[in-house]
Amino acid sequence: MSAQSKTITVTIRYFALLREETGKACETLTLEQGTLADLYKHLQERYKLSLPIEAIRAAVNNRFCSWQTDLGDGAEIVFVPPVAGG
Amino acid sequence: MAENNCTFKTTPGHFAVSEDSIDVMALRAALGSDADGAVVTFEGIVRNHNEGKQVRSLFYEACSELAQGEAEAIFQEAEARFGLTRIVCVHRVGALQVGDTAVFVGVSTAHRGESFDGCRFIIDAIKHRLPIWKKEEYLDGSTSWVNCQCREDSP
Repeated sequence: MSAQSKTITVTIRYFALLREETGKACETLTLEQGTLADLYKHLQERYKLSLPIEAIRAAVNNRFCSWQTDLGDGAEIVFVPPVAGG
Repeated sequence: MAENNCTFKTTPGHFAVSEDSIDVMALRAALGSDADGAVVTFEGIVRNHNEGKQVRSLFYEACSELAQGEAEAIFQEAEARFGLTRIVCVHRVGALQVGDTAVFVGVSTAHRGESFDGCRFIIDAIKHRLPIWKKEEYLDGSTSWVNCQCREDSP
């Protein structure tokens, strides 16, 4: 077992308010292995996102997942701000 | 921008996100069968006001892949609860003007009660569960993502 933390590469898609606040529709990031919650907190700091984690849902590889989900290499992530269809 | 996913099939439980205007008559034609005595359809229309503000236009955005999966889950629940024989739902994305159809839901069943209840269930679930977002542009030029009130919401 290595003491070094493992890095993973993930793709994130941004929609609506998150797309406007990050200034991008999609990005690929290489980061230390962690949970979905860790990633959102990282992005919140980086882009000064206005929506708290409680207002967001997250999906990995087209499935809604809990914030404690560990991210794997190659994961495709969508953060879902409050919806307003119809 | 969301991918266009409006390939149309006349099968039970059809859902699509469309960048093109919704052809209500074509969708209606996909509903019903010889065994169905009831067809109920609902159209959500862009109106010129919301929560006291005058609305000039709307912009809808969707995550098509996630929306597809969630719509199928909603349809399965609706089929199980109301015995719907056919379901067709199309949601617009992009820039819409007052009077445009933003969403169409149509269902058919043997009897009318199940069609009314099933159609209502589906449109309510679509509004609350599908990853679709709406940005309102007001007559005064300001804009807002609906349900995303926050510090930096005003231009």
